[in-house]
Amino acid sequence: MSIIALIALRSLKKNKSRTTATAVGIFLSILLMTAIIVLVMSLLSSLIVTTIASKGDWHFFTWNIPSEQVNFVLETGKVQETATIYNVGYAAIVNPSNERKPYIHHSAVSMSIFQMLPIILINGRLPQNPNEVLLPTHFANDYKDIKIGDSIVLSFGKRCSIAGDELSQNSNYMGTSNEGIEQLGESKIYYIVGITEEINFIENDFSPGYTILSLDTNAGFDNKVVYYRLNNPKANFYAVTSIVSETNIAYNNDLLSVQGIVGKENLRGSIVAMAVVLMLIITVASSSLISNSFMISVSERIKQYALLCSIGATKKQIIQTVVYEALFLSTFLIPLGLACGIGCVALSLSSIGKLVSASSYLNLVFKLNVNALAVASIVIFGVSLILLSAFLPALQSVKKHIIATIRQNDEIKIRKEKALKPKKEKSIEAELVGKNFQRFNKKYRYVIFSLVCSMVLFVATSSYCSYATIWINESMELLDYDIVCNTYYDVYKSINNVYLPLSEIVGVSDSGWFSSVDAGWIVFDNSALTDSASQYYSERNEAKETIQYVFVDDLRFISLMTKLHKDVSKFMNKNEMRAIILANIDAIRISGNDYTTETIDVFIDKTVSFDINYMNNDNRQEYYSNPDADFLDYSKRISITADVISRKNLSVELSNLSQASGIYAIIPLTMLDAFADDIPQMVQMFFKAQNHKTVFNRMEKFLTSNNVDAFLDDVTIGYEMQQNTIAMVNIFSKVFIIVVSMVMILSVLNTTLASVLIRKRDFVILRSIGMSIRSFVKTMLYEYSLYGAVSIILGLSLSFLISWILKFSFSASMKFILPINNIVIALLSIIFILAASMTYAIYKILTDNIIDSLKTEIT
Amino acid sequence: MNIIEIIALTKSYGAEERKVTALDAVTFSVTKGEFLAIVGQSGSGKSTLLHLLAGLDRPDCGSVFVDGVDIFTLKGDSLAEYRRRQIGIIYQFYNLIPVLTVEENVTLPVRLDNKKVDKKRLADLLSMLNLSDRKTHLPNQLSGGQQQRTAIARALFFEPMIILADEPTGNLDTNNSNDIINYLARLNKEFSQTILLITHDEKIASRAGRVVTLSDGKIIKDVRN
Repeated sequence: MSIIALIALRSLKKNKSRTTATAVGIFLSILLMTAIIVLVMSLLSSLIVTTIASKGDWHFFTWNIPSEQVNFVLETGKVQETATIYNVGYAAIVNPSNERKPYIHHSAVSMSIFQMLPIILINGRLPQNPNEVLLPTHFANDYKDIKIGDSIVLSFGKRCSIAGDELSQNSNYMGTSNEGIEQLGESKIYYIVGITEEINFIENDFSPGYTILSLDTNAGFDNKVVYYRLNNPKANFYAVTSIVSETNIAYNNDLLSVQGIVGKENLRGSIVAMAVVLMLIITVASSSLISNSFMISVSERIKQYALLCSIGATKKQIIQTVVYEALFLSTFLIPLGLACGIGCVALSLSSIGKLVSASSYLNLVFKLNVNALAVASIVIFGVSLILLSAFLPALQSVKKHIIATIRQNDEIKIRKEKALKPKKEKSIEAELVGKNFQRFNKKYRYVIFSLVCSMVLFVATSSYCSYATIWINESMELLDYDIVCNTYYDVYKSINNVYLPLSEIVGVSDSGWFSSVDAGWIVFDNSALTDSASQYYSERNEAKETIQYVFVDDLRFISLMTKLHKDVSKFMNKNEMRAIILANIDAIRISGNDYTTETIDVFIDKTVSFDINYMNNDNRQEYYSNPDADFLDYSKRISITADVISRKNLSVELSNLSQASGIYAIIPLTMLDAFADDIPQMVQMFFKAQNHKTVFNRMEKFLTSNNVDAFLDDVTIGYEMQQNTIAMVNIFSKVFIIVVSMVMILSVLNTTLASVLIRKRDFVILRSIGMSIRSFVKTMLYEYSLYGAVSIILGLSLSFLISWILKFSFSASMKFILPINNIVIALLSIIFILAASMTYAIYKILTDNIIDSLKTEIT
Repeated sequence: MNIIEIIALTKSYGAEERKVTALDAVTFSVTKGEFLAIVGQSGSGKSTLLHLLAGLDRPDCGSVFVDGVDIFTLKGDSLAEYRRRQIGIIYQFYNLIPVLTVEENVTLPVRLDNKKVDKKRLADLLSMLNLSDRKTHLPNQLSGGQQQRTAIARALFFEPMIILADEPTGNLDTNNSNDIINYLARLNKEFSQTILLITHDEKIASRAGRVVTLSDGKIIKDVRN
């Protein structure tokens, strides 16, 4: 071992307390950095895996575009894989057991669809030819006598309205008098080879046909829905999608978001940005801790370096001693920090994974994702940080005057003009502190820097975590309800036979229902529209907008009106024809490769009067059966006055409308006959329940035992991931604050203690010439008060400023959080740490043997 | 043959009315193998002269030629090499590296020069300075005399041209002081080692072959014993 390395190693061994503090600092810094990087990478990869599992591994799909255009897209060479769905048609079920689902809907799919879309095979195998089919579970449940291995004879045709319009799975069943199946093909035998979960990317719960899948062996793309998975989607997404007309393309926004491809919804970008800010905080905290440790360590050994210089050591060799120290520490601590960081994340992910899988059907797997690049980055970061922290003070030390350093008289540089000139006689203790402050100006600066840094970082981290929690809560679509039930009876029957019994089930804490129907159109008077709305409609050459009636329970309506401070009697008077409306349009604005969604208020005034061109069911059928008809001829005008309300703070049953784009008139059920001719046939009911699983089971039991035809859904299951994410962010924030605080406490203890202990000889000399313990304690108290006062003034100002700036990393509109609690905690902590450090320093100096101390220092 | 040529060496500290001239156009030379004592009262400029000779400080004007080389033209690594190879310096307060043992402190200049340690020479030197049984001790485990003998061994180990000793006995009792001066005298006599010894003790100075007396930065006396 070279003599330089030997000196470095021995110095580390000799200064055990400082080596420990530096080592803990390095270890925590690396651990934190590793934890953040690995956690973010794991979270991102888990999000991608989960999204692919639930939404499919594709980026966009097209429909109704000719084969040539699909081929043109494929010829770009940027598409990795395609999958196709061909709508073969509908076959009627004889004596359907579910009157809302009287058809079998046949889709022929390419084999690749099973890799690209979330089709879950429950039993059997995948089809291998066009004559083999997969049945969905709900079909198998509704028609229990049909099993895998059976064959069925079906002839498929086009589902059309009586007007001849082709209908799809997106329009619900309108009855034999309004629709039917045309152009029936030849009957064919189909062999059932497997059962899948419901194909929810083709079929909605209101769709009239059970979707069965067979294999499509036709390679063309005509009349097919084509799903595309891109090579290097980030680079190719905009180039490829711009080829296809906007009206024939739809995107897998969830996947695009987690892969960091699309703008506003770029969840990946947000998570990465958050991680970058956290890493910056860690970098500042770590750098401050490590460089302070090295600065004090170097300033303590400056005399040693001067001695080495005097006997012929080169500047390079002096710097090497510090660099060796840094490398010795890095060799052990970086791998240790890395391993523990990865271990912590693995442990957290496994706990979160267990939590999620225990409470959800999704069975999410949070997988640890560490790659060589991440490990290399952390190692490079760690080594660079440690080397830089060590190198800079070493460089400063070699620039010092050798003899002055050996004699230790270079620190006394009181310039005449800056000399302390007390206005009144000071006590000896205050004078000593003043003189020391001038003599050790630089070392005091390290201490104050370290204290200010700790305070600012603590407050900034706490503020940042608060902002992050608020942001996550706001950006996650959390529902106000847990269970949804849809019925297709008329509204009165639904309420009496289904809603009321369900709402009384034990465990339901709140409930509500609404029934919405298409009412018709509003033809706008442009002067009533906001500028943005005028522009929006003029860009689309439209002067009308659809309006939906949303009927709600009278009592719930009254309660909503009370909350909104409105006179409910006006809204329940059939002579007044008054409603409250939601009138917001979500307009997509495209700028370059990015798009944003802007919410536009439709009306200028909060109270507006307009005519609704209302169509009842008969009018509607007549209108749709005549393609050249003018809707004005088939509608009657209903003049209403409407109070425009905000989409926020709606009741449970209306909470879905908080994201709704369009015009919705909210009307109490008692006013139904005044506004509409027909009784609505679909009711959506919403229930809140703490124990949603138990309540769901009770509801399901009630519906089955009473033979009620309803669609019941425990929606909370789908949102538990969001709730877990929020919980995860909360836990992560708290752990992060604790770790950052620990790093900073160590840093402050380290710097304050070191600044006193390196002057041990001075204090010992003072004691040896008769300074009393009281006087010595007083000196320490003055000194620590000076640290505290200066740091608190600087720290407070900077904390306010940084907390204010940090809110912009989320959103400029985010409310500024005055971190009063955190500031109080930071203040108390600083006082406590300084008191602890002072007590230890006093104890150390008072208990050490005077002669031993003098001798050690002289050596 | 002159090994050191000091020409009009001037060094002052401070500025304007606070200016103190530590050395005022000092000129003299030292021949090879000479044992020279520099004496003078506190503040006469003795230590400043020694530090300039060691290349630890720079003069306001004047030159110092050591073995024909103007040491003030040396910079960086060449200056470090000069300190390492050409001179051996002994301080009043020993100035050993506290984390290194006696033998590591002694061999430090050689190891800083990336040269192999001559173990026989090390053993001889430690034996000569009565440190053989203390070679694995750290400085804080040694007495003042032992520490100063370790500092002498360190100064001698590289076989430098010149030994610069700055009040080497200033911190020692009479017995230890005598021992140290005896070692230095023996070195000069047996190995013709050039030694510049700074002291304010006339008795110690009398052991040197030549005594230069400084006062207020000027040579006021230059006597050969």
